[in-house]
Amino acid sequence: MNRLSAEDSLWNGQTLRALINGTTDAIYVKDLCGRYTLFNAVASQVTGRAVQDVLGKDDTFLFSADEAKAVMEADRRVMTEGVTKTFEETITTAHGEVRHYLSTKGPLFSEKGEMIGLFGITRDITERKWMEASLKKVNERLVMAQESARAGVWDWDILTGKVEWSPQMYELFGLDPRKVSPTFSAWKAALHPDDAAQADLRIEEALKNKQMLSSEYRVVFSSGQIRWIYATGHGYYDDKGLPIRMLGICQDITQKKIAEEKLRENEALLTNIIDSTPSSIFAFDCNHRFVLINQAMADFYEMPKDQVLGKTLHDVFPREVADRLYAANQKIIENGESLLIEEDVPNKRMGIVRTMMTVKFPLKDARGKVIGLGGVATDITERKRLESKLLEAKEVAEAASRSRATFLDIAAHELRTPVTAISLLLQAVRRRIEKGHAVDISVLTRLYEPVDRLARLVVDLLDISRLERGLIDLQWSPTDVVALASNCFSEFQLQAPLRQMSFKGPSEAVRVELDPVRINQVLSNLLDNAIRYTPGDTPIELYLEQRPDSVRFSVVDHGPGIPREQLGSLFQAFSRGKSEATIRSSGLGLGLSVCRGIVELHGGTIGVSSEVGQGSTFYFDLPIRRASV
Amino acid sequence: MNKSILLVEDDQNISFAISLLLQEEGYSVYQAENGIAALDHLKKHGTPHLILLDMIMPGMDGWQFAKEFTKLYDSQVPILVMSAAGDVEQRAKDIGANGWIGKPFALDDLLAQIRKHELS
Repeated sequence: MNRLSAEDSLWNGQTLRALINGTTDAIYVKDLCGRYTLFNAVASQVTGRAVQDVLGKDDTFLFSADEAKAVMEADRRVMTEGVTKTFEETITTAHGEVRHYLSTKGPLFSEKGEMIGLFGITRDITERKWMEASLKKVNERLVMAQESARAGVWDWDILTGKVEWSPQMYELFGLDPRKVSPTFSAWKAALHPDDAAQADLRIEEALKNKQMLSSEYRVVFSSGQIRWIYATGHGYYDDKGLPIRMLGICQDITQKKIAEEKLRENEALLTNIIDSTPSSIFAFDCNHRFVLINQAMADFYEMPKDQVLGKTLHDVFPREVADRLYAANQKIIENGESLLIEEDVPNKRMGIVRTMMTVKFPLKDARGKVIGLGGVATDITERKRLESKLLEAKEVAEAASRSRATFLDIAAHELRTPVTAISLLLQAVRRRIEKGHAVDISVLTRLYEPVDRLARLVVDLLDISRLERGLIDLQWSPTDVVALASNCFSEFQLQAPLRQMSFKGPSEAVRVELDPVRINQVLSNLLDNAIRYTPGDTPIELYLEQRPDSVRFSVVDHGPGIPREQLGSLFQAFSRGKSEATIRSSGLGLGLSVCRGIVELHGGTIGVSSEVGQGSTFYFDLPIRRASV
Repeated sequence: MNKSILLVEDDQNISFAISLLLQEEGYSVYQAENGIAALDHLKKHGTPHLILLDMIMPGMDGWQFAKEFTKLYDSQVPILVMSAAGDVEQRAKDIGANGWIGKPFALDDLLAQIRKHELS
């Protein structure tokens, strides 16, 4: 009883009143008719009505018709069902403010158990509602962001080791949420074995350095499929700076990685092509700085690529070269037009000049604005050389063709002269016979000389033709050249007994490997020329000298000599030149070219020295030992 | 009196045969083996009625001789060029000769040329 009365005193006493008026909730009691029998201070504040005014009134006194109807309907339900219920109510306050309330209402019973009314406790939840709505929006946005970024969110409690994953995490890592629970080791197990250690290290470093985590790694699905993941994360630290939590997201960047890889491959392919071409390729930006050079160009200038990139022309080339190139390049950048140039480029280091064919063109961005210039330079030195060689060969061929025509003119002239002599001598003889005059035998004897000459000419022409075609075979035999020269000399002495002639040679025999018939032909030809083309009262000398490895035959005359300009072409059957002067001196020509051919077949050389007014020396050298073939 | 012909020709056989033939036709023929000998003859014996000139000769050739002759003798003496070259006509024109004959030739053709051009 004592306890009961104590309880009664608590409920009816000062304490209860203090509780009711001290709370921040509105508290009220209504009778069965909905009339207020208790109305606390907070309720008075919210409604803006004094407690005395409200007591005995119902909700229509406090609220608008609609609000009152809703409140009374809730009250009715509580009393009908006889249980405590919680409602959300919207009420316009005395200040005209619409606020949200959470009301808990329950039936009140008398000591006899009869329902006598209801009580209500109403709390203002406007702020909470607003917070909830905001949170919902934030959450919606987060989901939206995660879904559109295909991002998974992870939250790692470092102290407990507990990890939370958003549903996308499972998808990203190819894990089944029914089989795998989110742990650090489950994450690590999903990684590509080559990347796991590195990914782990990244997290460790980010936490240690209190930096944002930024890490890329591969994930291997159970199907074997490999995906690329980009993970970012942020660490949280306690008062002592020790990491306690890390929150982050993961994103699938496989497509980006594939695109990057493709780009890298394309770039590598392009670089490979650019570096494999033998042409120099380069590009400048608008400030005349190198932005690209290929291997061929680096090789040409012997400059490592990385030492050139970013440099200007003036950093790389000598001033005058750089000035010239700068001006040309500036023009292209300004005009936006391509240019094809052929120029000699000195290579300072190699010390050589190469001819380069360079095409330079403006580089434009997508909108057509010039952003620099590019160029391809091809070394055409070799091509130029071949071109000029070809031109030279063509000229030689044309000259040969011309000189062949000249040769035929000369040959015809040479043949006509003895033919004329024979013809005229025969005409003279015929006339004398016709007139009944005696014919002196000396007239007929004169026929021998032109006939001989004609015969020799025919032999010379044949020899020239055969030498030209390489058809002459030498009959090699060891021969005493002293005897050969001496015999040849004696024959000419017999033919021209009145001519003053001398021979000087070694007293001992000198054996030389040669074709004696051919060498005799050469020597005879030189002696014959000396006799024929110099005045009869001038002496002729034949010398034979033995030298260490060779012998020299020299035929010296004291005739008019040969002008310097004719000496060069004297031994050339087919290139006697166009000069009238050379043709005038014909008669020497055919035989000498035969001589040259024969001497050269022996591995020897033939030559002449002459002074106008002093005479000429024709000589030829033969090696003593036959050159091994 | 016989008409005189100066024969400038280096080939002794040709020179001999022409002389023989022309002498039988009643000409006085003087032989010179080149331009030098020919100028020498002119200096000693004066100008002939006609000059027969070969072109290619050692010592002094036909071109040089013609130049010297024109320079030294402002004369009307006709020159006939004899040549074995293919362009004998051009050579004759070069030196302002009166006529030409290509080697080899028949005596009758030579005589016709001489008679056409010789001084009377």
